[in-house]
Amino acid sequence: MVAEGVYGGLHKSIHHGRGTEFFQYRNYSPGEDLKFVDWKVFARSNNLYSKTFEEETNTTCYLVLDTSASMSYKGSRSPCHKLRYASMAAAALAYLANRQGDAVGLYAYGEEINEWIEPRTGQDHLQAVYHALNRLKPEGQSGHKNGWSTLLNRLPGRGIVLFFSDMLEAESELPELLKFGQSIRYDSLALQILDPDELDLPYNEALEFSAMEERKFIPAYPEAIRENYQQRMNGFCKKLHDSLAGVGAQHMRVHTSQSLGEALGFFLHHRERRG
Amino acid sequence: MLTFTYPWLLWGLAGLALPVLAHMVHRHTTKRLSFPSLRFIRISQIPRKGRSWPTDLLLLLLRLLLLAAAIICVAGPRWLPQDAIPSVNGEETIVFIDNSSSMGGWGIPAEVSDSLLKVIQEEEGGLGAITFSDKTLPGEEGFAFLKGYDPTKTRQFKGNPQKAINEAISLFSPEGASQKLIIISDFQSSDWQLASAQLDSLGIALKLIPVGQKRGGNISILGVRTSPAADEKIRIWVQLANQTGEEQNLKVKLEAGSDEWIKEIALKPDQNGQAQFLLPRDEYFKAKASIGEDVYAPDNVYHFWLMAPPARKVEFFLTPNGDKIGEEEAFFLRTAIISATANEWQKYLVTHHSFKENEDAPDREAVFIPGFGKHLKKDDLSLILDHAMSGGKVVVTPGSSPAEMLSILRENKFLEADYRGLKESSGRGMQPYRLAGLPESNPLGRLFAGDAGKDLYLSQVHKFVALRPRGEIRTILSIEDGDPLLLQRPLGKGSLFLFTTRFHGTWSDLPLRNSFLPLVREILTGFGEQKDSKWPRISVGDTLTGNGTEDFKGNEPGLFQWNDQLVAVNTPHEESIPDVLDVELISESLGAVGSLSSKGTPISHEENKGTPLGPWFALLAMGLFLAESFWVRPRDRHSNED
Repeated sequence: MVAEGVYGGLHKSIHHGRGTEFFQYRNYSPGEDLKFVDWKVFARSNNLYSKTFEEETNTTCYLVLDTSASMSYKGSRSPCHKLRYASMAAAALAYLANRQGDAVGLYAYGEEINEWIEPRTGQDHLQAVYHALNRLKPEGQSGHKNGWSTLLNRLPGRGIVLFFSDMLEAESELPELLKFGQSIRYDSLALQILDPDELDLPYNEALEFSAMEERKFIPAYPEAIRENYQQRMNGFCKKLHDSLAGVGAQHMRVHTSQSLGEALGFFLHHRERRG
Repeated sequence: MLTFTYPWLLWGLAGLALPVLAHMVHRHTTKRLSFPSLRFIRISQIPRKGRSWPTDLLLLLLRLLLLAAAIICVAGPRWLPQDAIPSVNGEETIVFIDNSSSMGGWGIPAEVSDSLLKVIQEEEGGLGAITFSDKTLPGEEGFAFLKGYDPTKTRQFKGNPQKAINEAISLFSPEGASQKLIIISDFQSSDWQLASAQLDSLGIALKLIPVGQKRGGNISILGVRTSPAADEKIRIWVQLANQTGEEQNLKVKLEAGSDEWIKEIALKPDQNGQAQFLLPRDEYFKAKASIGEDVYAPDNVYHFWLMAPPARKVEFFLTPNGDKIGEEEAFFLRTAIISATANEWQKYLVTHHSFKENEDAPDREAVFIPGFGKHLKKDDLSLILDHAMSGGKVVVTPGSSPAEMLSILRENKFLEADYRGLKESSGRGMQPYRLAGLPESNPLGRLFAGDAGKDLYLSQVHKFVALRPRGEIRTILSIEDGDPLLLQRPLGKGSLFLFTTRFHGTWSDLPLRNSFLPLVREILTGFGEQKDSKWPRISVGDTLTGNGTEDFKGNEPGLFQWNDQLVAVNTPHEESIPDVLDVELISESLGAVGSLSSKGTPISHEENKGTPLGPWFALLAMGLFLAESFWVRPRDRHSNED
């Protein structure tokens, strides 16, 4: 439903024309191109039937999700944690890609590979992708290097890579890994998903912050460090954005308190503008 | 005021610092929040105001109260009324001043004054006092009491040191850091020989200050005995004791009415003697014997009544519906009783039982039941049995149905005897039955020995109930052929006397014989074993308990009338004894072994004074615990979990 309200597709089709694989017959409607009428059937049955063909895949869309423990954060202003949000966004984009005729593949990693679904088209495959997205659980440390190394070795010749992650502490690592975006064959889109708490540190009471991906504790009084935190966080985001842009990857930041439709719409609109 | 059974447990209140410290520590231990990245979070000084919000302070207060309530609960809190609380300044000294009668003699008052002065000057802390008649708690009141104490105003009663020591212990407050009991006494053996305590285990130091130890002997009037004498006289013996170790020539003065008599008597060292006086009977009512002043004055005077002893009561249970034989028997018996005791010092008063409900005459001496029969109801029989069991005498003659009488007696546990019929002289040619001779072992044997018994043996019995007694029954009189005529069955402290014949001409001529009067008298006096009744004589400090009336307390020597009693109150002769106990012995008995002023570790020696508050503090602690549990129950908190 979210996907129905947004744009028609993720990309402009490279291959034009209809599919070549027969799909089914349907009654001929006046005005239709007569070349699709199956005359042999007409000869046998004296009825006019048009042949319909299944459209062939235009491109391959890879959904890559970071399932590390940090994706489990859910602030008070968000309806769900970051991985859930990423899953829903990925599902919506998978739907759009599938509707557009693109093959959709899923790849999720944390410390290790959690899901790997080869790109295919069709409703059944889409359901399989949905189920896999639903199974994802945020745990372990983020293993961007291992995850992407594995993925890059298995990428087919061309396609779109949609990467969902909070990308924390990875502003140096990720651009290196996403360099493949510079290739004309790949179009890489990095969707950074953050909880609004991570951006503004809204807490009023003294807290002992515990790192989600390691055993580390820092007592702090948010009011005292908020300004510095926000500055550094914005600096990080900017650096990440610039770094990714430098390797040809589109970067966009969304936060989990945003409406998913709004975020996707914004994302697709932004992408369309980029051409 | 709040006191505690185990005050040392209150040190546990120092533990109240723990929750405070925990709270302080907890102020720096903040709530933990899992956060995706700590990269941009700096360690910061957590401001104090971060944990000083009201909820925490209230929780701290709640926990402090909970801990305090629990500690107070186990410390055994008690509530003592304000007037029972001494002023406590750490050290407490209770001065027990023996003010028994003996403390007024032998120059003791001067010694007591000196000792008291020293105690007041030397002892620190709160001073309390106790005597046999007064007590004050440690503090200003006790100090004032000791300062104003007049040793010459002793009370003429016997001391009870045990009671006083127990009360003295209870005067110490549990909070007293140091407790000392000082006893100023002559430690007279008659008072102190049974006193004991465990002062050392109670942590109470003991100091004994003996006074009057170098006392000389004493001459005292031990008592006075009165007895009727011939020629309407009364003989008076004044009993004297010489405990001086030297021979004493005494002038004994007897005062009665406005007259006085003096007798001189020599008493050998450490010997008793008596001075005898002969006074006209019924001329004087009050009398006082006295000797000259000596080291101990109270026992030099003795008060006593010269009135005849109180009359003994004899009650008749007559057949209510008119039994002529019974009434005639009662006449004979009543006449015999009055005649037999007409010239006696001890008089008898004859009354008739009214058979009304709830009537009781507990002081009656004997009950006569002429014509015993079924007119006596269960309640009457129970009353009669109780009378016998408590020492009274019951005299019974058979009624119209001897078999029924024996049945009733058996059923009500008076006596058991087999009925063998009614024997009459008409059955043997009008030859009367005669009484058998009395052996010496018989209680009447001496009275009716020799010529004195001739009249008894000439008695004619025309009719009697033949029976065979069973069990513990003594035959006092019997017919020549062995059938019993008078049986005695002991019942408790008293006896049942059963005549098998009646005091009527158709049965016997016994009431017409001269021997009838002494026979009745012997029965009344328990064959001479019973002594004359006496007016009560008590010592100062003793109490007479009345039957439904107010008690009589002997507060001072003298002669008093109380209800229908004539009471003589005198100084207890135990106080006249000059012997004293060794202070070391007293010290051991009171639990201060090896030292006259031992000092133990103060512990609470609760006599369970005051109202225990432990359960209430337990309830409070429980309530606070529940409140605390409710307060800290898991609540919805900021969560970053899905």
